[in-house]
Amino acid sequence: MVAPALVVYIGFLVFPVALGLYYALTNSDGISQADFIGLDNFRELAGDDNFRSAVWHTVQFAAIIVVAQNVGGLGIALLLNRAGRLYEVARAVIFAPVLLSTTVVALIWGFIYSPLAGVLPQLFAIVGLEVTSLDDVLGATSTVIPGISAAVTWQFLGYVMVIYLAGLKTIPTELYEAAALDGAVGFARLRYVTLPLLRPTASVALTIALIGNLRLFDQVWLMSEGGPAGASETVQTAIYRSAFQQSRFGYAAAQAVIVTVGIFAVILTQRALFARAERGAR
Amino acid sequence: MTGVDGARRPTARRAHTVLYPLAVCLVVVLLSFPTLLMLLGSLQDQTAIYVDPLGLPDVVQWVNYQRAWDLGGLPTRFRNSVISAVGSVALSTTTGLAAAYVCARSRAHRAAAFLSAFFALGLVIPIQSGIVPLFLEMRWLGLNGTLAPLILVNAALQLPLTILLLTAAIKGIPTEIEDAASVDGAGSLRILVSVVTPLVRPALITAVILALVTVWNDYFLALVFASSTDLQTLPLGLSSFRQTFSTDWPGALAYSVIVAAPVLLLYVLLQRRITDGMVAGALK
Repeated sequence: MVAPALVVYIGFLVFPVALGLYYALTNSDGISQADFIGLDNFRELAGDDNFRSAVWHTVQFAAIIVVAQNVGGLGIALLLNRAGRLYEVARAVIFAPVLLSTTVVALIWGFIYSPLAGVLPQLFAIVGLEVTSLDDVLGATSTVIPGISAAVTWQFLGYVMVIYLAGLKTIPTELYEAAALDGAVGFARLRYVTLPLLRPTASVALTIALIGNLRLFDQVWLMSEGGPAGASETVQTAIYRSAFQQSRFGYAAAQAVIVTVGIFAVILTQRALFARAERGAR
Repeated sequence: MTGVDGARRPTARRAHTVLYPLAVCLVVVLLSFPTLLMLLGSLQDQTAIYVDPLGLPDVVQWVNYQRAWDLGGLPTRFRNSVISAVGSVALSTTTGLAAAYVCARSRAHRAAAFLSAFFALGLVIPIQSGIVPLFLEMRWLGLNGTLAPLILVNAALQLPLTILLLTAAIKGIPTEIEDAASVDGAGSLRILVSVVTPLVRPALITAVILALVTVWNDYFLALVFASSTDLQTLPLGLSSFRQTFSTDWPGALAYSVIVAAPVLLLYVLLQRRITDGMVAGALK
């Protein structure tokens, strides 16, 4: 009975990903007969400055977004972790953007950043500021990465929030009562009771955020196409460009192999660090 | 609240009961601003939006929706989105339910555990890693130029979460009911369909909704496999509308509302199911 699922899953996910290892060793262009060229693609990759900067941008994106989502998501979860209609509605509203298509989110934020519509200058005017450095967020090399990061952070903040809320629910109230008897209230309670007990939850939230953001493609492609002048190119937009704009399928497959190995390495490291911290705490 | 709070001075208490909800409201307003801006802009006049992008429209311009619908080729894209979402979710749910039954009930425990882990791997594999071979595979199968690649690849991508949710649900029901049916001579497919499936209906609905939302919103696969005009799904239609009519922000924002509306409607109806399902998928 498991056969149909295996056919679909292996045929259209596992097998293609594995087959990428083979294509990485060829000079396939998708049309003519591909030749086996050994490790040539990887050698070229080692000296490819564009790919190196794409890796660096991907790391920047992931660092900004993962930190912002987790700090923000945890903060909002702590703020909204109480019973009552207001908090219920607040949680629902903050989660809603998670369900929007990345194309919708990219369009809204493209509008916010649009130099012609001028939403940002008007917003600054409301609080009495005049900021000209943000007139064209997506068109300037210095602001494009933070600008796209803000959109991604906003969209998935609610997802990280519900993960932390689920974690907060697992903390027994007796612990808070015991801590109160010991005089731990407010920040002390947060520091010595809540945060340590949330460590497993934080590990999960970090893993999810890392998986999602190290493979960032949609929002970048939609909002800046990796520009201006490659300033927001990520590894995924680079792979897409090699494959579907330059027809260098073999080279794109080699990039994908490196990226997949890299993502797995980062995630396994993160999980190992958290597991060790958890053991150390006991 | 603990007794310590009660010992605070009355002014501090009042500050807490008034300022705290106010802070919550402020956070909600700030975070819903982009969504509100989308709704507002979708009703704004085409020129006024450049003068006063944050202002309320003098006259509500429903005509923006009309323009998005006509110029954005919405009927075709709506159809393509529905076909690929329904097709892939039907495929992933039926095959996933059968696989989950095996994962949950197989007497070969180690094989079942391996199978579960093998499917769970799909939650971590970045699909972009396999996109080049997938594209060539679809061409080899003669499926490029149809909606079949979207249906098949999306189904494969949805299987891990579907199987994870359904395996957990099936494990939660007592085996006695199935044993009784089996004594009565029912085969395992029969038991799955008429005994197990009704009992896991809530989890089944959650799995279907989560998969539908994900496929409905997909941009990357559609970009690779459905970029020609007659195959485009709604997200692609939106981005090409934006490129073609680059000065028509109200039309593009109205288009966004149309793309988002079905999903947000589902969310209003089944909010708990969606958030709980996504948390369950994350924590396992």
